Amino acid sequence: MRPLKNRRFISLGVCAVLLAALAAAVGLIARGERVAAGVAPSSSAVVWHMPNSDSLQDGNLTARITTGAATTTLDLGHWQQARAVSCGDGITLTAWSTAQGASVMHLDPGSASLRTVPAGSDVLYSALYDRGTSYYQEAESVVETAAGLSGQLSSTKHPLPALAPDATAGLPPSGYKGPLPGASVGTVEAVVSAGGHPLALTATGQAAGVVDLTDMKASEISGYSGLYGAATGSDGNLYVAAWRCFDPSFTIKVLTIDPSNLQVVAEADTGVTPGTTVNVVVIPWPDGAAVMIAQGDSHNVQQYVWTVDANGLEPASKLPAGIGLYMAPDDNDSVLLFGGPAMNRVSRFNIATGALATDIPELRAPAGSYVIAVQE
Amino acid sequence: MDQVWGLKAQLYTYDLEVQPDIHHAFTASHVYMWRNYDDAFPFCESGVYRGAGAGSHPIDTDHPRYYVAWGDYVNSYQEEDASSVPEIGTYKYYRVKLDEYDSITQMGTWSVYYNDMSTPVDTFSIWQMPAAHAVCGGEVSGSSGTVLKAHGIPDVHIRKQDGNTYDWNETNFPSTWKHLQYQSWTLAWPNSPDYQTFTASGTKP
Repeated sequence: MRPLKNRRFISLGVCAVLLAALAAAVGLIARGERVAAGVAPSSSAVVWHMPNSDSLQDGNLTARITTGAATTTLDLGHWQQARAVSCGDGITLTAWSTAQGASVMHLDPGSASLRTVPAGSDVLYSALYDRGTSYYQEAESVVETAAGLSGQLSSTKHPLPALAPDATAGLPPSGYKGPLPGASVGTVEAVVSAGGHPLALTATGQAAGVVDLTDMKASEISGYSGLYGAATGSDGNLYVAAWRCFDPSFTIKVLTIDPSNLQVVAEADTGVTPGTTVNVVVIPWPDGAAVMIAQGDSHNVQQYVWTVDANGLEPASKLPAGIGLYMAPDDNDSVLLFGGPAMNRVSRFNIATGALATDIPELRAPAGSYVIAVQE
Repeated sequence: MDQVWGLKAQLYTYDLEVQPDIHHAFTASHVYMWRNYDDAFPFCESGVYRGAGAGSHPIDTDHPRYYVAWGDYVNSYQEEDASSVPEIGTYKYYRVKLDEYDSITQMGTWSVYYNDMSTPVDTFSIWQMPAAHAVCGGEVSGSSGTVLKAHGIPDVHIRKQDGNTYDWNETNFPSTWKHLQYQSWTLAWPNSPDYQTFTASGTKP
């Protein structure tokens, strides 16, 4: 593991302290004043889903944690679906099965510990685990669950505000017969921590918005009705990919949102229409965020990667087909790409140089499995 | 490698009739599935309509026709108007099948069948709906100030595979209204297995 990796998900409130401590430790090590003794070896983790052969497509979820020369394998259970919602300061997953419902899991590779929070019966596409507290959508609320000193879970519900249809986000076509929800809370497509506040990003298909779960202050994201993928950038701003559900010619934009007032302060155009999008991932990146959009079908998934900061989007990097479906932070130059068509293989892509290393041996999962999360 | 999930559910609905003196535009969806109960997308539905068509080959019709509509966050709204079905009442039930869940793209492939047809009237892929809520006969919309009466026999149930035995379990499926658009309508479908009449009525001002 290289130094300074995967620290970008640490909340800004503690980031400075941790970075100072880390810099001091690195400095001490570099000067030879303290070598190894008392310094825990760094850890990496790979999580994969191994489908069973039956038609229900459930499977075993497994994590392999490598700390120095030691390897630990954790059985995360039997699930029909699992996906990573963040990789960085630990791995946060959502998992679902008919029998067990949904759970939010947080894996800490450093301590090889797993925390699992039951999270209702619906499939979850977003969740947040932040310093011992999890957030996930249940019906029209976001549930905040924390463990007390006794270890018993306590939950608080934050009712979400309804979003009225936004005419500027595009109207249904003539002859439209689909659902017309009117004002509704919609789906929480991302929950992120910004400035110490948990923020929920919601979309209904006819409107979109962001809610600060600390004080329930809410703001509409005017002109957009679909969004996915969000992260707090290294500059403290919130970045999210957004589009218009009833306007297929409207290209996906990356919005910059000021978390202090929940207002959109910048919009950058990817130039990509939403049409065949199968996944969107946004992760923190130096000076801003990195954005990955995967498009295509199972035979040809194409990934595009951008970086975005106060100056807007850098030109996209188009990856060879089949590299993956997900993206996770690696170091200040590179990201890890995996999942979907890449199955058990993980690739490293250097955004600055364009160098691509496919199928990194130490991150490879068992044959036949699908990597769903990586932290190096 | 595509992963075949197999048949997940079959939804049967009622034999719909629309009274012959109804000539205004309307839509009555009979099979309706969506991801979250308070969410618009993803969804798929099938039913009959009169009036404006939509989709890539829209058919504006003064005779009730079948249609299939679907959409998700990124694939927007799509509709297939069934030009091959001249009159409603020809079909007695629908089946909506989740044929595949592709773990590569996380897209679900759905097919809609009428009656015992072996060929689906439409097959489509939408984003991330491996599990869904379902309502049958759940939506009627029409122009404000018109009257729609329809009747049929609700015979609505869901069949799903048991995760352990793969037997078919047949379960009565509660039918509920989802009246969302025009407040002038008064609608009633008592959620009772003993109530066998489907009505939708409104008052012309």
